Amino acid sequence: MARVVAVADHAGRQASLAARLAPAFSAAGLGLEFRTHRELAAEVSVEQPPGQPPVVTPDRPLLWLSPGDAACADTPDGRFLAAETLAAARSIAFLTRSPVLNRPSAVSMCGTLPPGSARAVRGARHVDPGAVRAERFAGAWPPDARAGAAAVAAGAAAGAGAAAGAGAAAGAGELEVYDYATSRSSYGPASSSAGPFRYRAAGGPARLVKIRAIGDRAIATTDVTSATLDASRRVAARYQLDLATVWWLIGTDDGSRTLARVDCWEWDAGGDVTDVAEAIAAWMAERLGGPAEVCR
Amino acid sequence: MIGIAGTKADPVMVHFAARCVAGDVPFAVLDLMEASAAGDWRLSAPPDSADFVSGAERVRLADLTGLYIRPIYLGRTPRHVARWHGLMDGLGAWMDEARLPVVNRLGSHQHNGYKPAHYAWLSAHGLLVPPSLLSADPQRVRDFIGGGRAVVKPVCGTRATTREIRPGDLGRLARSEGPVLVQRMIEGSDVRVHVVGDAVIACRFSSTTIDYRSDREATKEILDIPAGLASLLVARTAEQGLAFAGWDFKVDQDGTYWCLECNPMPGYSFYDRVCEGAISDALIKLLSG
Repeated sequence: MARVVAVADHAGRQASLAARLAPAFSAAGLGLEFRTHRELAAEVSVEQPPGQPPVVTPDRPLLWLSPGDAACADTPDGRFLAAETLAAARSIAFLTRSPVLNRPSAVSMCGTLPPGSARAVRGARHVDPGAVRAERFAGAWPPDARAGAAAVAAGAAAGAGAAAGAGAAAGAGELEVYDYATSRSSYGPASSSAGPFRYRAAGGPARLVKIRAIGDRAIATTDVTSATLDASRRVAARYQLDLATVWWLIGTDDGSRTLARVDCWEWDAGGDVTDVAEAIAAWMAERLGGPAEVCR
Repeated sequence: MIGIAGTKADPVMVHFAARCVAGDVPFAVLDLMEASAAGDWRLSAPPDSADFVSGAERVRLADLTGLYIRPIYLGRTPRHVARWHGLMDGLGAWMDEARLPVVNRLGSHQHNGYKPAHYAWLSAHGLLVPPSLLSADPQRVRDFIGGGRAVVKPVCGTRATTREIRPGDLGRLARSEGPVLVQRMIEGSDVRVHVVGDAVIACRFSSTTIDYRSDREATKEILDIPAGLASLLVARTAEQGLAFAGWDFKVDQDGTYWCLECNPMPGYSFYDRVCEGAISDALIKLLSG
């Protein structure tokens, strides 16, 4: 039986996912073991011979599910050790020849997904141009807030040449605002918040929809069009993600689609964890030569 | 006008600004620490003609011909962390879409910060890299050291003085909580090559110590590296999405160039003094549009 290693916070923030991965892999005829970053780095060696490819020992299929171990170091030595552990684990996942779900790349901890949410959304504009809007960032709520929505919307249409601050007045409530001080999004800034802010023009009434893209599968917990499922897979593929959560704002009036966020780390939130675990097992089974449909 | 984005506590930024002053080159300082602590900004993606960053001075980004950024964070408070995060998100999104030369864009390669992957990338792209081993297994490390002199290095790229590891050090490894990275020691002179766009500027150091950076008596000289290697480095720098990189080599007695690393954010001021300002001159040329 092939043994797959899941690098995860399996005793903490990913405990629920871990609990569902084990039976899913068993049903797929695959063994599954869990490791933290530290455990992975402690048992794997990487040798770089001159002029040859590196050798990873042992070289096992991996699920690269966690950006780091849960424990926070509070001393300089502890922080250095944590950085060393992460660098070692990332190298192992990067260089392993066996299949690696969400393999890190030269430019990212996870696929090629940029670390900033705004960069990730804007970087998908070539994949789904109509779904990506212009963005703006401000240290404090800008004096041109009343014109902000119009200016940002104009930027979306006209590109780099759009004039700021021009246009008809629009209320702050017509802006979608992310507040870095509180890590919360809203329509218009909270009156007491000091920011800083990221904002963009709001569309009409919309619902937030989450799609899990896992290989060529797309899992939604609510009704969405096949076009949105396809777009989710394209966004994930754009960033070389085998497992991604793609968030959309779907217009309730016209069904229009706006990309809201792309996540690469799978936490325990949501009621679809079992489906996600089964899809991950199927993804790995396909790459290891097992059956494609394994759980249902 | 060149934009210099960083902190005045960074001697590299101060050095570059001083070279701009000496050359009568117009520049503006985007003090990222001051802007994130108490300043303001407005940044757009796609870029907008009214975008600005206001720290020690207010800089309109549309006036820039190029941007040299060294985003070194020195703050501590949660409030400052949030503001720094917001500023860097905005600058990152702006830089992704701005049509001007940037040293270096955030989307460039990062594997210098996880060395085994870095060595593998270099080796796969035509550079000769000394043999290395990452392991927490004392016996494997012992076997590696038994094959010849070796040095120990941080895995994560944190700057540290390179030192030799000997069999007597292995007791500490057995008690440590993480793996170590050991690399075969190459004896010879050190060569540092800076690539700025298509420009290649190199200098050589000869020292009796393992790490020449800790040797005040090291001899230093400007060097012309082999043309084939220079072309390779220009190509490999660009492949990583970098406009500016610092390459470290050991040159053995046979004249073979062993690549130790490619630094994507080189602290180049020391080398610039050795090279009589040639690195700054190349940066100014690149960023002047």
